Amino acid sequence: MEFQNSKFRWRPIWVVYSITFLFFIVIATIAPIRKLSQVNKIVEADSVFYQKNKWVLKDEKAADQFIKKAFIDAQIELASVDSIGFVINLKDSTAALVINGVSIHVSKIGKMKVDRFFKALNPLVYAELFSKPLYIITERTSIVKEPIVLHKAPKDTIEAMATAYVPQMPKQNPACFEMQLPNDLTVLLVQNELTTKEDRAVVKEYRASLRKRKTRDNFKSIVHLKRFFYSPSIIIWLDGDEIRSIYRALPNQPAIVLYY
Amino acid sequence: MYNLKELLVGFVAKVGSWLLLTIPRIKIFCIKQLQVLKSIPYLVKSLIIGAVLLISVFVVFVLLDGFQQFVLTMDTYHPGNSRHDSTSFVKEFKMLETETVKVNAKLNALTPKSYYLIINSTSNEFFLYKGLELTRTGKCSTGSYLLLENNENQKWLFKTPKGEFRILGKKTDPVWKKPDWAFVEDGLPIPSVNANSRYEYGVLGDYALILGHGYMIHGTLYQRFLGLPVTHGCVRLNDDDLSIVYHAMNVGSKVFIY
Repeated sequence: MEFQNSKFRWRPIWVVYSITFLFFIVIATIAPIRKLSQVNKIVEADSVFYQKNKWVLKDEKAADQFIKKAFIDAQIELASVDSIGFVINLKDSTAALVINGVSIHVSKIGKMKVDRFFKALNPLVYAELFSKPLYIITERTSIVKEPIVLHKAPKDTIEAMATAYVPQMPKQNPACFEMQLPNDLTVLLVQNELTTKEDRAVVKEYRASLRKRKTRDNFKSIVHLKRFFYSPSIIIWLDGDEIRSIYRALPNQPAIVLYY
Repeated sequence: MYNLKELLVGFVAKVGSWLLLTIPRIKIFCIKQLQVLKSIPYLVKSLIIGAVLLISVFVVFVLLDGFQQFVLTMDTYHPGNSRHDSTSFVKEFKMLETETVKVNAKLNALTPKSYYLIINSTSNEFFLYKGLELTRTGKCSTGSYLLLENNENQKWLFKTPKGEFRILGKKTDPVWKKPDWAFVEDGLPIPSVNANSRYEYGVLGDYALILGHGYMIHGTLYQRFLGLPVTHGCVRLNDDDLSIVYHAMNVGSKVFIY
């Protein structure tokens, strides 16, 4: 009797669950392609730019040259911004701080994980998106920007000698720096040498936040159906000191140039 | 070249038609399985349900990213590789190359050809460049980020400013005119603006390069603290490095601090 009742109670739930799950997988899997075609349409809509430059699509060398020129154009525009900017050159595996066109700090990228979304972009779309600096919309980091230490002025010289400031290097948290850019693009800088469990936990938290964002996008794609959400990301592994130097050098809402 | 969309639609249609034909068989199969399930204890059923849910979560959070990346691989942009002998293509390509060379030259021209100094205030290091050639590097000291506060709610934050600067002046045997915070920090009363006690000799080393707004690059008596953030905003170098930097840089030379 119990099973008779449970048959009617559970079977439709399993069917609905299976169908919903499969539907979710299919929609989520094709979301990046749909997002790609939406992005391509933006460029194709600019018919003057598209007609003038579509010859580039026919040849690989022409495409590479076109992308390279877009990168240089972006750097020249970055030079006109009178503050420190960030240039990520994934082809050369370098991440550099730049001010007024001068590279002031170059870090060698140890390892990187680049979303295939970028590889799938055609050169015209790439140039349209990346031929200008991108301004960070929001950022999240485990690093303290200005490690300010409060020191109360002593009342007299005796107290001054007793409370003399002893210089020491501040305790460094594991370095993670997440940047949200336009077009739902995320760049995450992660420290590559993690010695303690706490360090690894911090890095895991940042990487987990990227996965959560992607899962949220997948659910949003199902809800909206006609609009597809996808957040391509780039994860770059660097030395902790390099990430700290980069983060502390950058102003609020800095500009970034990306080359891939 | 195949069209992914057409393939996908064809595949779904085939699966759908197969399902329609085999639904009666599936129904019989499912009924038989349910009869088998009847005999399984409740605990095992719960475990099976839990495992299925866990696998679903695993697929959603972990494997789905892999599926998406795989699908993007199939849709990667592939440019043509055929030789183009058409005059218009060759002409356009040459124009693109020429423009690239021009903008690249414009970008390279922004790097100074003479000496310039770069200071990393996070790692407390300096780099002296001439053009693209690194001529000297070493340790320095920059701002301590100490926030000094007195009883009258006056505050001073000791940090080295970031950005591009120019050498505004050069001095030998510089004399330090102590600002108010130097007295507050030592627990001393603040003297008048031109009091003799404001002037200290020999604490800034042999040379000083003036950056403006009270900031300088100078020497130090506390050479053991080089490499640490200990200053009140100025940049300190050891005697040898300071001498080289002083003689290399001119008034107007650029200093980049980050």
